[in-house]
Amino acid sequence: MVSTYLGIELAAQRTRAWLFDNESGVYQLKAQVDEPDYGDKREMIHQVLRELEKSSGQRLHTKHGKLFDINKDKNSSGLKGVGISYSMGKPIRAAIIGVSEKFSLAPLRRLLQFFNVEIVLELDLQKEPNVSNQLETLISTAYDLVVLAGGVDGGPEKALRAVINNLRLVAQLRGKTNRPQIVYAGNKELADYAKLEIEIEDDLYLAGNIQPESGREDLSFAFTAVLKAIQRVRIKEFPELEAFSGDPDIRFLPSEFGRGRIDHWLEQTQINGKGLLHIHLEPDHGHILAVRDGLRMGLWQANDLDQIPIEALKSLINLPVSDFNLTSYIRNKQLHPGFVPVTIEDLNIEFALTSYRIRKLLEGLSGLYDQFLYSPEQGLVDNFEPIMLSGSSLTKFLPLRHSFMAALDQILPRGITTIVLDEFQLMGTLGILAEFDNMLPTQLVDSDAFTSLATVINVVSPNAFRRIVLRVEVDEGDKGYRQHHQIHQSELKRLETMNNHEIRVYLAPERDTDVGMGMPGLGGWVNTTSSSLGIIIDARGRPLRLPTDEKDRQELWHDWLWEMGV
Amino acid sequence: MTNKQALLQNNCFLRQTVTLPVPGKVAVHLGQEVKAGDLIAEAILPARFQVFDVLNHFRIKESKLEGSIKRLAQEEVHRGDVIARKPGLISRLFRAPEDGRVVAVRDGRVTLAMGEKSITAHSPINGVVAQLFAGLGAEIMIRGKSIRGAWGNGQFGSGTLIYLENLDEIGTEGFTGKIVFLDEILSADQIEKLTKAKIGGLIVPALNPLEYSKFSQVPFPLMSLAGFGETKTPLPIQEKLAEFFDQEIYLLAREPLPFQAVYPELFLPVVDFKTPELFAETENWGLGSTVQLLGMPYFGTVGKIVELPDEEERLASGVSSRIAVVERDDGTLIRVPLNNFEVLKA
Repeated sequence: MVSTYLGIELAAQRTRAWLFDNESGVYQLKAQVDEPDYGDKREMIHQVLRELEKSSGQRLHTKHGKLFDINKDKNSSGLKGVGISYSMGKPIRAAIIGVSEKFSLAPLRRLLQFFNVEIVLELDLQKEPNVSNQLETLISTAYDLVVLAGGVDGGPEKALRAVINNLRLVAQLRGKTNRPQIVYAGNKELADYAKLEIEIEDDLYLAGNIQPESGREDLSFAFTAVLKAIQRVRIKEFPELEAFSGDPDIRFLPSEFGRGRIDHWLEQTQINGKGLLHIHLEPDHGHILAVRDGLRMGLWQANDLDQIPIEALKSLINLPVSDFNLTSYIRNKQLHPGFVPVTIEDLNIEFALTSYRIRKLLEGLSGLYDQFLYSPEQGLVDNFEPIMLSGSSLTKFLPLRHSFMAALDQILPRGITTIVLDEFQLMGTLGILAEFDNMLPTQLVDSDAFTSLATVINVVSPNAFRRIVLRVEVDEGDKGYRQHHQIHQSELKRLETMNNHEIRVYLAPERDTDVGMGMPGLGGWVNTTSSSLGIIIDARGRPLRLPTDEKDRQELWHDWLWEMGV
Repeated sequence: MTNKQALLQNNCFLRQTVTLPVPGKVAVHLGQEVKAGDLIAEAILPARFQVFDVLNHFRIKESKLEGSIKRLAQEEVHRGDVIARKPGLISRLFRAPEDGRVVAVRDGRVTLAMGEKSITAHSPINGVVAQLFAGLGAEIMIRGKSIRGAWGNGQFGSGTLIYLENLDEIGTEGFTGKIVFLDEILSADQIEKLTKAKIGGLIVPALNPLEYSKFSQVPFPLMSLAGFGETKTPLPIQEKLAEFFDQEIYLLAREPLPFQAVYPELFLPVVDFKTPELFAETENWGLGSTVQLLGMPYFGTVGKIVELPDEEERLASGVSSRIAVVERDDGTLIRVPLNNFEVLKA
């Protein structure tokens, strides 16, 4: 029996679809489509399905041309489930209400900024104890979602009760069609009170307390409720998608949630003791995910080119570009986000934009989570492997090597890590389809659906410029032939590897040089597989020592890019 | 093939959504004809709220609460009316500070809503109500000819469209309320002159990107046809504009939201147009379509598609993309990624 699953992603201006089946005994990607779109999302689904039907021979529409031809008989072959992920739509305007900055508002920011949500109102009940003022603020602000948290279970209730009363009024004044979705994630003792008081039936979602005890925070208690609220807001925005929300054979969830689920699972199953970092860049947004010791940290950032300081971009460009050309490119890119760089100048600006966006994501996540340590100068403080890259800004608007360099120079990883590209943008949909059959993502991750870009060995040494910091021996298992290299301080070295080989690398660092093997001076064998770019040894140090002169800096960068084969 | 919509449209609908920022009441009905300036929706909100915590302020027991509150929810109250009273030797009162209404009596708290503030949404165009958004507003629709722009400063205007050869022609009189087409790249120092002339709006081929912050603050509707950079208005757009000159037009200089297909637009209403269908047919573009190029070094120039290869090609930048071969006006052939042009005429 062959089980087939269909994944669809509704993105801003694009619709993607993937077909997976286990005809060969394990799940594989059978066909995929990535189409630009500007119109009705339901019509776009029909269009990508027609494309998939053409390329796979599998019928996905019913005999009557409707969505989807799902075979409900578990014992016969056919389409078994559909996972629809979405990243399209305006940012959901949210109000967050909490009894304190540290214990309720900060966690709520972490909870909501994981998603495509813009926080338009923050109400700190300690700073604004006046109930009349709270009500006026709640009435006069436009938002689609309210999340209320605060108070440990069994703790004080008075302030929360007052704001619940106010939310009842807000819901009444806005009427059934326009009232916001309300998520209650505070003191559990008040959950029933909130339900009875606010009286908005399906528009109220009761979550567990995200801070059940003093000092303990668990955002996962509120994920399900927030997801349901987000889904309802999206269906109001795209009513043509309503039919997908109640069908047991269709899952309809945000793409970022799907990616988060897969990243979480990958981090939990790997045995290297490191975290997992994932950067996803689309023309309209970026999303960063870091999972460390089971803690899922994420941040969605809209790509607001208006906010990018020109000076910051200029410092990332490795060619002389006039201010006029630079600002023209940025302004026009805002108007035409799908614009593809054609000239070398365009390419350099696009590279700088991508680098800047990656840096902002890393800084943003570091600002949200104390556990995620990053600075643009020192890079990542913690060890992450693998580092996943995905999204069309990294796969369609820059050549592979440029995407890699933009990521490497901003992330500045520690120790030894692997950088992997999700060229077909599978992570989101795999996270959604995992609900039907968890063998599907497991087998896909083990397949060649992902592109290993490079193994990066980061070398940190106090040695002087151009002094030897590391000696490397590369064994490609090819009849005893071994390559030997010397790596100097401030050098970026690429060691090309042959395809389809298991590669062993012996690292012999100098006495004070740290290559991520546990302590400075300690080396050893590292096993790796072949990858698009091979083994990259980054001995440029932390922070990157860049010349202050613009021309010298650009030349140095040019050398590094040259080393990458750019 | 990407379904790009042509920038120049002959018989199309202008659809303008008019909504309130917060829910209220919609004042129009489906199919209703509206004029520019007509009220579409209105939200009347209380200007102020006062929440009075009877239990806490009067320091009474919960059992005595019911007897203390003298008004019911939804009751109208006048200034000075007693809302709550603490009985006893020394009686304490809570009186309504203004005229208003009791909107809630919950948990020992009385909530008063007082005064009114009104938020309104008006139609910027004449047209017919094509769609209602419950509690929020409506979509107004009108048929005519359209020229889509690339950037707008978020303001709307209407008036007679006139052509201005150069800025020296402009005096302080005779331009009031006129929508001006100026075939020059606008710089910020020209704005003052145009503001003094009290023009009703401005259309330019492109804007100087280095002065972006000033353009977003000009006091009249401003639309750039091609975006930011250096270019002149190409012939097909000039020809289309000629049909708009000396006519009453709408300049909807919307701030572009490309991910939501929102763009600025110049619109000439034409009442004689008749289309049997509610929705005008989409024109497919392809070989022979006239396109306007984006990006340097051909920014804003036009050409015709002469070839559309099926396979992706590797560009000079190293990026792979599907392309079109475009013959420019000077006869040169260039290979342009499909995302790097706008279709002028299908």
